[in-house]
Amino acid sequence: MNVIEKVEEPERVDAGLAEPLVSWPFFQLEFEKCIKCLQCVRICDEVQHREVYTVDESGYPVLVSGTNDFRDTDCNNCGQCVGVCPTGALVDLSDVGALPKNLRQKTTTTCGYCGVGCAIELETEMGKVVAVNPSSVSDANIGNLCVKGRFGMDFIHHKDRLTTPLMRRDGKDSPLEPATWDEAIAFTAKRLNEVKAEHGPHALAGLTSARATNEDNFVFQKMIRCAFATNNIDHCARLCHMASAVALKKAVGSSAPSASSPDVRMATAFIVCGSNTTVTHPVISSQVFKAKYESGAKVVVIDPRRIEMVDHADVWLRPKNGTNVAVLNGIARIILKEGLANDDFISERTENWQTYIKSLEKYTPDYVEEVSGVPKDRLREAALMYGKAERGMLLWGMGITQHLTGVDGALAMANLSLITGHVGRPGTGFIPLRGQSNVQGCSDMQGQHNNLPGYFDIKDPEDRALFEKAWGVPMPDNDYLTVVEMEEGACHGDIKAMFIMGENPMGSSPDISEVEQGLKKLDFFVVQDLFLSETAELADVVFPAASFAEKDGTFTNTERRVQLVRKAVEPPGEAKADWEIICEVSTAMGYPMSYNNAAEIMEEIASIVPSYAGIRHDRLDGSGLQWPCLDTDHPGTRFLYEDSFPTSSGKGLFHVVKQNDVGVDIPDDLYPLNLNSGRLLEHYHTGTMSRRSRGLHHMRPEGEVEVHPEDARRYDLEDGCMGRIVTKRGSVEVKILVTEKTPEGAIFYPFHFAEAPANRLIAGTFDKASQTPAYKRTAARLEPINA
Amino acid sequence: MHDDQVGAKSTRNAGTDPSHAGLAEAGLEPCRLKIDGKTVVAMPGETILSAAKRAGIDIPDMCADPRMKPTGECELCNVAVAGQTDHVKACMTRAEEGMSIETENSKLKSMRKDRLNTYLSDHNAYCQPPCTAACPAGIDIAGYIDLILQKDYAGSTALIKEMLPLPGVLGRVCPRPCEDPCRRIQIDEKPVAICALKRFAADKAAESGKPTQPEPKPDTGKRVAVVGAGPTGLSAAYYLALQGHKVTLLESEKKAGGMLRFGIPPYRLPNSVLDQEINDILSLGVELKTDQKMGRDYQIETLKADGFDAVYLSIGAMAAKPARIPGDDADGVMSAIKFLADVNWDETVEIGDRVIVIGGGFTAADAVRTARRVGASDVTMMYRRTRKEMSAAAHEIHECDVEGITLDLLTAPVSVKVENGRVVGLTSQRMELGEPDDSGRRRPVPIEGSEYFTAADTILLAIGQDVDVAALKEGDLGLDKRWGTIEVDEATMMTNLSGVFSGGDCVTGAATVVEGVGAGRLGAFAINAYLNGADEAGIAAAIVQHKPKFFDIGAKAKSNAPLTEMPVLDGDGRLTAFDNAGHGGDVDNDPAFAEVETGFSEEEAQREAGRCLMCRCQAAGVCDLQRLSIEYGAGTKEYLGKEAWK
Repeated sequence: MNVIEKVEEPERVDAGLAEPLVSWPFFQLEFEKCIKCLQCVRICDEVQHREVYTVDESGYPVLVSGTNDFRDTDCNNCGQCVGVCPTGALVDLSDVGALPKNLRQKTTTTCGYCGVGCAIELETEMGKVVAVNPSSVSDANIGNLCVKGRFGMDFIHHKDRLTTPLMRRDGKDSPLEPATWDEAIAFTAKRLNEVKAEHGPHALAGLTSARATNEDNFVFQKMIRCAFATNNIDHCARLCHMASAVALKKAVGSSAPSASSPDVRMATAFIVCGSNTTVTHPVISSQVFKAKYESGAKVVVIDPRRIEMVDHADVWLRPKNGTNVAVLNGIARIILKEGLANDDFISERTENWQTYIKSLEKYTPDYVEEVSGVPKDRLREAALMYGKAERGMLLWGMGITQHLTGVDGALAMANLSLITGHVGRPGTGFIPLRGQSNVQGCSDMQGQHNNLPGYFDIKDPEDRALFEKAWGVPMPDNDYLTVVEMEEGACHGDIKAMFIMGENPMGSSPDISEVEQGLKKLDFFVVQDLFLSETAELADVVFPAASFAEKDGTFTNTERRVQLVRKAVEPPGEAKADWEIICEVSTAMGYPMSYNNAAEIMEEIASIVPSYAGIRHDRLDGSGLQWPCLDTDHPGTRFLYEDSFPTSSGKGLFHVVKQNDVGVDIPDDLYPLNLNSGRLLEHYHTGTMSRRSRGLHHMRPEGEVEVHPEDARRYDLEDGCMGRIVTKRGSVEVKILVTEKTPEGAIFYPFHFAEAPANRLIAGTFDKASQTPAYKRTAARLEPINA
Repeated sequence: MHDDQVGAKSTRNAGTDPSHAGLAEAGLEPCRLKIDGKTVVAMPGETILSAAKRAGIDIPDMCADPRMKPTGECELCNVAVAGQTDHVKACMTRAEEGMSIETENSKLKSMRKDRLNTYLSDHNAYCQPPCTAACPAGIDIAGYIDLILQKDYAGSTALIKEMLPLPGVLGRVCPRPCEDPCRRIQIDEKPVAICALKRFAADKAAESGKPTQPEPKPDTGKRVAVVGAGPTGLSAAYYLALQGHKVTLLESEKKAGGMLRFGIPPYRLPNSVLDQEINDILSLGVELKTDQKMGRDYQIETLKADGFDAVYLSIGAMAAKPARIPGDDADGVMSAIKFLADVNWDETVEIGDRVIVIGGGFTAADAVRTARRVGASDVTMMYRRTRKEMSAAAHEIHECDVEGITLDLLTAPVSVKVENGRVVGLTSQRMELGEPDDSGRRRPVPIEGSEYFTAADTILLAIGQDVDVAALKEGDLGLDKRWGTIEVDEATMMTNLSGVFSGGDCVTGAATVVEGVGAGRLGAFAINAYLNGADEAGIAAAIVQHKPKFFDIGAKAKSNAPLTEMPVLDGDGRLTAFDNAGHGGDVDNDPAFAEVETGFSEEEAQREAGRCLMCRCQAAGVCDLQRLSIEYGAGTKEYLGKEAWK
């Protein structure tokens, strides 16, 4: 990937002034302008809870390190101090504007990175985004931001942005060349229709994008179902939270997170399991801190890695990788035995209790300790904290789902909510933390598991009739294919054409080598993206898409909050909003679609999807609306399940789940380590956006594999040297980072780096029920590279 | 079935997060209180500050953030509660039922001012860079230099054009008041070459053909006549057109440009550059009518009848001041302005070998150098003070030296010696410098008995210009009796005739191009306000300018590079060209008139731009300290308010 060059810090000339405190290339504190109000020191301490600033004898903020470089401290460049400075002492070095700030145009919109959905204000000048401010209009972030949201938006104007359609005019071997829109659309429609005529509609498939708006996704799935006439549509939730979605659908009847940010701030006890919250959802972590440090909430962290959340935990459980279920069942059993089960809730609101409690018997503290390595005393402490709490909250991430037993893990979490009744009240519930800006909305719009938008069942004749009436064509009834099944289908020749919008399976899917093989075999392949991603490089036609800053629409965040995405600048060159391109392709294929604007698409969504029925763009100022929002007077729904669950009986279902971690890829003599893959604070997804941000790239120019000191010694590796990770699937060469963060016997490697992709290493093994890949479980070995 | 039945059965209001509202506490009822006489409902446990903010009542603060525990540190949010002797901190005091609160009174005001002054004593900074403040057009100089560093030359030019529509012209001829106070001088004694960088950006942008002008606003249906297409009139036309008004430029000469065209010779400002920038202005839909003489073709009073909703008079100061010495009516004595105009209009001129130019300003410098270019070999510039007091720029005087021009300083003309009705020389008198006069320059005093004679074929007078009021005297327009300029209300730029505005040299007396361009822009805003129905106060508000002073800090440099000198044509080469010079006639193609300053290369421009300290504050305009200090009149120094950036 063509990432940006590192920008060197300029040399300073001594001008006889106090040296500023510098966090290059993000911000610096200039003492001449400082009025010693100490807001920076306080927000860092009271909101971010990081050890960065202290105060010197004359009352000025200084760094705890005693140096002038923020890198010598715990600072993670969130820039909250910059936002709170009442003068210009804290200078935003990423600000590339020329006009005074008060004369720039400002657009309040929703951050395009993770699923927290922070409100941000884009400052624009002469058609360019020149700076980002936090916005306090939304309850989702109440004015807080992380490093990506504040300093990571320069990808919008990166020189690599696609500005014209590209196509291969003379077959697969010809180069991708600029084309006109008319030419590229006509060619795409013709080729898709040819493949459809020759191989049938189910030889076509589409991947939609959790980074595109609800409107984009709605229009995309409509094209797949009406113009392509197939159900072969999926998106990357398959790779992250599908296990949670499947589990929650079974347990409580809906795949959605039950609670909201305000509930997080009100909770009195948390179990944070398999979520590196300060890294993947930094603004949610600050709200957990608010609950903990301002109201005394207790925090249980369950994670094999010594993540930052551990520093804020009252109890840290460090299970062996893949033993989540045992630990969670162990917690449930202690809650039961200590008499902390919420009997009223269980009898009135749940089913299957007796079968469930029988299944817990096996999970004695001793047994759990033996299986997971978690000391029984710790386990008990954790169980009591959550069990006794007035308002309990569960937060989880990929550490639960990306296992062979991902659904079981999520079911075990749901069981904890039901046994304590920590759901359906303010300050309680569960949030599987969503990774991308619109992964919730993307699921809502296109569905999963044979769902139509709004989770209507594609197999149900009544539901089908609704859509057939609305869209005027018969709904396809084939079984859907998942992301990975599509890729396999491409390899085996079942899938002949694919349309991928804003997704990069060449970085994000497991076993990239096989993905590449499949995509290359396709008769016809279209990609729509901001950049010529590794995936787009393989396409026959590439459409240039507008980024979130260049179009109107909505994102639905991890708390079901539908918020506005507003156009701040024009797209580069001839790039267009995703929905506009899709409408043109669909129309050219013979299924006409046309909308005047994104708000009109939302009106159609509202007319079909009951939980969005009351959502209109003009109602979404401020905090937006949380679905279900049933009519245009409805205020939205902060938390779910106050009275009942949307299961057939209206009750929550306990599920028996067993610790069962036998897999094909467990460590052995040849591959003695467990490779755990995941994310970094500074980067996002496959890095197509964040690695094109000057500052983010500067902080993390390359991937490093985290190795425990003992393992480093054992395999003859030194911190900072190059090593090779080898698995049954492949190998990559990376820099070694020796740290006690990762437990002995396990290594951690982030998946953002295309030049050394984690997913070249990872086997295509899956949770059976959800088809979520086991990204956290690959047997590997480490070798030094002798220079 | 779809699974969102959940919503139907269990909906709940997305109410305000109680933890968001300050010191919220469960179990308390909302309460009602009065703040500044207005009834406000406070949420349970809410602070006075939070309740006031929600009710849209502004209590100043610099440290209350709802995400943090209040500390009351800044003490600005102190308010008076009826019945309590001490002020309370609004950020830390709960609103209570029946409270009556006063957020501002004279005591609180003076307390806040004191408090802000304490803050300011620690705030050794600036709000805006001095160059921008010194610029009569108020250009965001650091901004355009920053864009040059980013190699966005069209963007840089577009930013300049927000304040000044002739960047390529001013980049060549501006007297550069911005460079005098430049903070770079504190580091290595030389300012940043701001003007040369402006020229570089403009030339690069023109070369690239990229757009540098915004789209005009939709047509307002209003028509404005701008009288005089010099720098002031062109500038007024540009900004009026951008506002969507239909502008007609009435020019008495055959081409637009005014002094830029016939006062400034092409070796300083090539006609191609001027034509290009005038065309850019006309491309906005501005209509140019040439050969339109006031008094002959129209009167101010008739313009309204012709359908113009407003008039802008920018007729400049084109009449040369007479020397008032014996013999000044002889053949061979003429005004420098007339001489320059003749040459610039491609007329051939016969001035002989020996030429004396009287004066020390820009026109004098242009006249001596032009005289060299039309064949005069012995050219003398006579000025009554010293080099230091000359108002021509130092680099211009230096070029006079290079071009072999004699400077005769501390001298004043006494009489022209005339033979057969034609000049043969000038008798002058030596001067010495006495006490400073009103302008701060030392007054020249004649030395008795120091008269001397200098032979000359031609004497050119460059001792100042007046407004040509002949055409104006007919009508009702108010004129300043003493100075012979057009009289306007300084606050609104309007003359005594309603809807007739005026600015530039014809109001101020002869001044610099950049001052004229700035006046044109302000005139456009005044007229725009007038056309939008603003009253006098409204018009004044549209053009009010704050001239700030600054908090100063020691400057910090990113680059150690010394000043990049403007590259110029080789001196010997120029002298050779002069030896072969004709008598004018085709200045655009005459090698003697080739542009002397050749402009920066990209490398030079980048290096020079890197010298800029960017000594502006990012927070200016959004800074709480700035805003509150303006509001409470704190600080001994003034701040730059938002208005100045309009």
